[in-house]
Amino acid sequence: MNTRRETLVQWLLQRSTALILIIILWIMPLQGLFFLNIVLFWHLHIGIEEILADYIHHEVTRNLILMWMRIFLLILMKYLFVFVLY
Amino acid sequence: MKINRPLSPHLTIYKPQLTSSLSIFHRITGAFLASMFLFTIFIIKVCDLSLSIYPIYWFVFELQPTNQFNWILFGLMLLVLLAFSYHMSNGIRHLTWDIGFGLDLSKVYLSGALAICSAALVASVTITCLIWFFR
Repeated sequence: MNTRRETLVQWLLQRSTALILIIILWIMPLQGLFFLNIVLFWHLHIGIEEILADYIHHEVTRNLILMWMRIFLLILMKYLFVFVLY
Repeated sequence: MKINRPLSPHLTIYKPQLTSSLSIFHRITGAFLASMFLFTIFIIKVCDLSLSIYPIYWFVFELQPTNQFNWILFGLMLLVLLAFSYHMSNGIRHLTWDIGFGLDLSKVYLSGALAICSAALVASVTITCLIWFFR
């Protein structure tokens, strides 16, 4: 039950971030740069999680890779925010 | 995350059809775009951190815009542009499916052809504008 709910939340988040990305890219290309980074990284992270869940069947390996991926993405997000702000 | 998914279908043993190829390419272009995005930020940060190393300095120096046309950068940009426009148009198609619209087989084929055409259109218009403004 819990995992099914989690999957549903991921599915909904992927779709809503895709919608927000389309809206941002078509309507406000430069004003929404700060917002764009968060939504883009979110969409990207859910996509990577989905691909890893499909092709890596060993649970410990997958969780380890997901953990490192999350840290890597957080570091890159921080770099991108610094690039945008300065 | 505790999940146990079935084995994904092997791509080589099925007859390639329009619907399956579009779905496969949606995932491939998504992975390509994600890796290019992350790799670019990572490379820029690494080059920024270690400019005092001569090969990296040379690399950054070579990447600067000059009068000479950089074929490698142009090809990479074109690939990213094609992947992006395809992923966006097919993503809009997926969103219309999620609303519940156009799920018949004939409509699926029609919207697939439409997605390919609009991706080619967006990519060609963007590359024409880029060449027009930055030549």
